[in-house]
Amino acid sequence: MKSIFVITKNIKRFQTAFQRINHKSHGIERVCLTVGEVGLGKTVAGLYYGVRDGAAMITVWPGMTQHWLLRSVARELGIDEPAWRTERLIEQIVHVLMQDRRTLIFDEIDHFFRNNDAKRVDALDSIRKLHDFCNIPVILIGEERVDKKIERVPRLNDRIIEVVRFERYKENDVKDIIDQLSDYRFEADAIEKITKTSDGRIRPIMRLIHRAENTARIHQLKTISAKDF
Amino acid sequence: MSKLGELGRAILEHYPLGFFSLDQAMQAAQLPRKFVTDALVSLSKEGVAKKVKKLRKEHVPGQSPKFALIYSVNRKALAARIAPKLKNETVQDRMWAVIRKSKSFNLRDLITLTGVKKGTVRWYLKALRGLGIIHPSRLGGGSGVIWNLVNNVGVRRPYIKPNRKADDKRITGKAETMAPTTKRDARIHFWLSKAEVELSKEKALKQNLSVSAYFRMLLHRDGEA
Repeated sequence: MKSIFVITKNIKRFQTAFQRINHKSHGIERVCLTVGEVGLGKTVAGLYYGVRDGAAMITVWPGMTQHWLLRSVARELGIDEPAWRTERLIEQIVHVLMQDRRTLIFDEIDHFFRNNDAKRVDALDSIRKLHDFCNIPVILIGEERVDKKIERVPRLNDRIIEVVRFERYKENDVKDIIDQLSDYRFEADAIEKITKTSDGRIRPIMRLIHRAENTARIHQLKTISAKDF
Repeated sequence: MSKLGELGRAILEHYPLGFFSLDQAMQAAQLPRKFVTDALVSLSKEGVAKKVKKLRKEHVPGQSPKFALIYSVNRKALAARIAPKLKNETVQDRMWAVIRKSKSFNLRDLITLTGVKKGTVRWYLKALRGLGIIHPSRLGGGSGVIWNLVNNVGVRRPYIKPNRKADDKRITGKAETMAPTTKRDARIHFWLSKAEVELSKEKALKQNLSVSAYFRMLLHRDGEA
């Protein structure tokens, strides 16, 4: 299996959205929301494009408050000593972002919507404020139905210009992935087996391709069929 | 290391309170007076050092007048000034960002997410392991080793000094920290350097003195000189 980042249909959509929110027009919103089930590669996509763009990626923890979130943002932006007072902390963050405009990626934002806590909504509102003040692109990554939950914060919801939905992979997508990753030829029944067993999720797909290639290497096969792994 | 680096390091090592005279700085760094004066002037312009006192020394007939110059230095700013400069947005930055985010990863993950060549990734992992920043899941190498981030030094990537061998002209990737990378390290460095100074020949001069007393002693000593 090749050590490359596979460009799937979900990744292509994410990449397009990433480019769209990095526009140069002033006054037009730059918030992108990425939703999808667990194990479809949302975080990895965020990490892959974030690393290339020099973005700051923040993982939201359960019970994260506004101050905690702002301190995490400050640390990710390279502020050595984040202030204890929220007001000063926001000043520090705005100062850094004004000098060096960077994309902010927030992963697992559905933690903000647990228990209907108003404090957590404050945290989301401060993300929106940072976006407005500094004109920076923001990517929010969450699980399924987070797009419905975010409607509770209408000001932030208004600013979302791109919604990327990560979907399960179908048979032709799995074939695409195998073509990119593997040097072996997979029969149609092998592709069907991988699609069914993996349930269209990227992690099990990779695991099954790896297993099939191992079998092919041991038995010196050139084409792999369903019965081989 | 540059001469300015040598001077800065000497000041940081010998003067934990941040007060020193020009003569002391010369003696500590073993550098000519002209260079030390120029360096301190440029550091003053940058706001790192500050001239706090200028006293005329005893006049020797037939010679130009000499002065005892006392400086105070912002230790933190000086340490940052002499620390090695790191380029931004390099492949090392990319690898470090992925390592920080992943916490636990293997060689293949790093190659896939950063798009860096296998050899470079292996060199980087080896260097980070040398610095005690990452640790393998098992010893002995081979495929399937999971690396764990055990010492997260922050957003800025750790400095790795390339060791160029003159004979085969290959970079062997020997890792070495030039400056403390965390606050805790910086504090330890500070106390260690202070302990060394207290144990040195100048023990009598620096033991348990307040800033003002230390300052008075410097003035007195330089006046005598």
